[in-house]
Amino acid sequence: MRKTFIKKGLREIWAHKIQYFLLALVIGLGVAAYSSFNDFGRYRKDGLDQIFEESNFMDLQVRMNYGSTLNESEVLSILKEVEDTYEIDGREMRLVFEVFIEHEYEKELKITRGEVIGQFVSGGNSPKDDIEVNTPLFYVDDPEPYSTPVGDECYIERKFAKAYGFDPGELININRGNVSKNLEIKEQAAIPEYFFVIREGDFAPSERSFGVVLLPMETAMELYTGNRTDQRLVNDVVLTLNDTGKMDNLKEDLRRSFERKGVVVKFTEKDENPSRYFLISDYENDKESMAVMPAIIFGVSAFGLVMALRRMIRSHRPQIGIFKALGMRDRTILIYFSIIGIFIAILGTLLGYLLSIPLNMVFQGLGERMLDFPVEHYNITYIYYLYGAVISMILCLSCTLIPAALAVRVKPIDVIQGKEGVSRKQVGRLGGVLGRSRWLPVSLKLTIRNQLRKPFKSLSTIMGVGMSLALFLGFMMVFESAIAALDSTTEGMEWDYEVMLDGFQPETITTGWEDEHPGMEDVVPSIILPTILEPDDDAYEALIYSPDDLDSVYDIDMERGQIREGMIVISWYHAEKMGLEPGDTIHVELPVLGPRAGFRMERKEITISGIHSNHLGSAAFMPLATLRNITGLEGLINSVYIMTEDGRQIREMENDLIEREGVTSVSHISDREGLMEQYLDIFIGTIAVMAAVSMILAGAIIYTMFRISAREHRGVS
Amino acid sequence: MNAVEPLIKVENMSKSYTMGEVTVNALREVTFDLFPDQVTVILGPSGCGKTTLLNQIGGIDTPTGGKLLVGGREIQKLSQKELTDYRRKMIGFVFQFFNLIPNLTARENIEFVLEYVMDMPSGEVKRRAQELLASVGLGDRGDHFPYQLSGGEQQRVSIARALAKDPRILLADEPTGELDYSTGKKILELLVSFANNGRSVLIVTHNKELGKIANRVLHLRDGRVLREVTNERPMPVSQLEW
Repeated sequence: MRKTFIKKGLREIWAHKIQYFLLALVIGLGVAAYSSFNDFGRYRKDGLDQIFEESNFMDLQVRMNYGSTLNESEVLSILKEVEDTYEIDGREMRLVFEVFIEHEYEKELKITRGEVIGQFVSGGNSPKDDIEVNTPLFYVDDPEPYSTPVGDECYIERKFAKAYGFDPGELININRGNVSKNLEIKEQAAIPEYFFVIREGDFAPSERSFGVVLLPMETAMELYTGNRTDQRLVNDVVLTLNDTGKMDNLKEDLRRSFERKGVVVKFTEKDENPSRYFLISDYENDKESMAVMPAIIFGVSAFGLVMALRRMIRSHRPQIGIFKALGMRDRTILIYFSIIGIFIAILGTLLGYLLSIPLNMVFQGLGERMLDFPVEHYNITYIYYLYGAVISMILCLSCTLIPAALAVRVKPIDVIQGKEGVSRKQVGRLGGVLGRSRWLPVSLKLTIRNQLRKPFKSLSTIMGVGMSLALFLGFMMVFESAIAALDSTTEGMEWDYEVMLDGFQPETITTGWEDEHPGMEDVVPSIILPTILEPDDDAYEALIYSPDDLDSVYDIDMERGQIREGMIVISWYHAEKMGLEPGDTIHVELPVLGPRAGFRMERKEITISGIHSNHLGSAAFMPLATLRNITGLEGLINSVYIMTEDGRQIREMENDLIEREGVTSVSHISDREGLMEQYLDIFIGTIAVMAAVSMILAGAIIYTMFRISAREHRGVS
Repeated sequence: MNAVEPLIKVENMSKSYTMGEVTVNALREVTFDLFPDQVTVILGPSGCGKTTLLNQIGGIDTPTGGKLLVGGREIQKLSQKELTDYRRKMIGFVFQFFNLIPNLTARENIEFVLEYVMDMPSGEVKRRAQELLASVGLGDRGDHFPYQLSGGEQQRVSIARALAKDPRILLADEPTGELDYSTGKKILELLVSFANNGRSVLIVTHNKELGKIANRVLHLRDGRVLREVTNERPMPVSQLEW
């Protein structure tokens, strides 16, 4: 490349530096959005792969049912039988049991349900050293070891610890039946099967209402039996396999072996683990939108660039005419404009890389908040940045070369004398009418006629400005909607406490609650059922809420129709998706209690009585009596809503209820709000970033468009 | 009758434009020849078609009627590539309003042509550009941008740029129109001195006095050649006054 061209290109850019800078910013924002978003997606995916790999996440969990346990040696012999046949890589035998965790929270006693995982750890070792499968603390180089296996020391699950502010060195009290133990917290630990604290059957994450404590087997046995004992009991085994292809046979052999010992076991495969499932499905759900958003930004920035460069090249056409008059070949002229394109691409890419630094910082923060413990360092995946640069180069080159190629085809004289671009077209009928309209000011007539003479140019400006504004407003609306959804979800929930029960319990479980707890105003038994709504061939997941007194528990904002006995109210979201209206019927898959015993899933046809607009995602509502008629769950409930005086939090009541038989969690509304915010954190955070990026993009495109327009009207080339 | 073969033959050339519903006949059946080693001046009032005629000869516009023959070939029948070659090798343009590239210095404006139009090797470009600048008396003004030069200086850069291609025909559109008397004379001296070694200069102007320095003068009115006058003894530029 000869240097005069480069000099000329540089001087051209310097002469219109603001305009070129904004153009570079437009493409830079596209590069930054594309690179950073894809990198964040990669970070999330790699982060998940990494934590499951490095923690040696189980391929299979074998849990003994009905409170059964076996001696360590018995379990070991079963495992030895299958070890070679099924290529078991790693195994961990554990004693897992439910406990109550007592601790001080906001200067009051707080009791939470929890789980102890007793593991075989040698004295002086940490859980990381000796645990082969589902290794906690895998991300710490040198974790604090247990002083001794009987030192009354524990590791506590990280999210639970953070929610209540547990720090190393503090004491917590663990109760099981009549046995109680004070344990010193050695460290917070990420526990692989609870990377995201959600248990089987949970409808929502439960990190504030479920604490997991890791103990050496000796300490766990003491808590389990009430005595210090040399016996080692096991009720839970986690395995990693070299080849998961033989999984079904392994499960069958293990089931038989355990049955021979009189123990019924339940298997949970890797992908059935609720925590892992939740994290992966959350990523999968976000993946599409994460891919679409930068594509939209890049698309708009590309459109802005095309329009702006096209106009800019047009403004250079007199110069092209002079080049041609001087005898310059078309190819040489195109090379000259390609230099400008390359300059913009390089500048834009560099700007994009610079902009991706703050974007990456924001995303890194979001990623770390998602898992709440340090995973892979947020490093750059160069390939996305390279792709961004290549796309930017292709865009800039094509955006300069195509209009330049069109420009070199014109007769030099036309562009030199400025005849080209001066429309020979008449102003048209409308223009004529306007011309005769004396009441219109001349300035307005001129503006309108200019637009009518060059409709494509006008349209492209309007489109560029419109698209960039629409992008910004779109992201702002999504952002506002997400915030509004959070707010209205909270506003829609009238309850103060949601009590989840262990499966279905007799409704009489709540008898006497109000009398026993001062401050408790109302107790509403309820059933919450996950279901599948099936209109025709589609299927949509939903949660049916059926409190005994719907109005007192939920403030349902009915968009159309009403709540009626024998019918269902579905969400606006579902109604839109399925094209349903009140009066239509829908198939609902529900567990139905059979005449003898046990549930079976049945499809029931139900009429829709109304559509609600509460932002409760997939919530459907049904009167309790209706649900019971359909399912046969007469006299049974699986949840209870409690209203307190002035909505206040009553710790004593929480502690009392959580310890009752059949109660699995007691959540105050504030806990739910916090969890929902956390759940939407990444989505809202991402949208906020996109809104900020699109705002800058819109500003840059609009400013550039108007600046070019101003130049065109000055007749400056 | 001139025995020398003309560089360009113009035969009944017409050019008309359509502006809205009106057709303007800028040139009407113009016929003349352009000979080597001669200065030809086209005289006429504003709007008579002088610049239009120049643009047709320069190959930056195409006639709507008649013939414009270059080396026996009709310019209208040349391909785009051949037309570019014609402009590159045959024509040097000195525009009325100079049309220098604003963000290149005087020297770079010439280097630009030497490099990208004439494909001159990089090593020679600087030397040749300096020579050309010196030949128009601007040897010390090469690093100035067009906006830092006076009108006369810009015109001289424009001439140097045209000369950089060493064209067979130099076309100058009102070369003194924007200049003061003494600068104008210097420019004319430069132009006239170019018409030798088989090269030709065609000047269009409304200044009748300039006809005195020409070998031939064409009087143009309303797009037609009113008359053609041959000067056997053109006046030296130094004696010219207006």
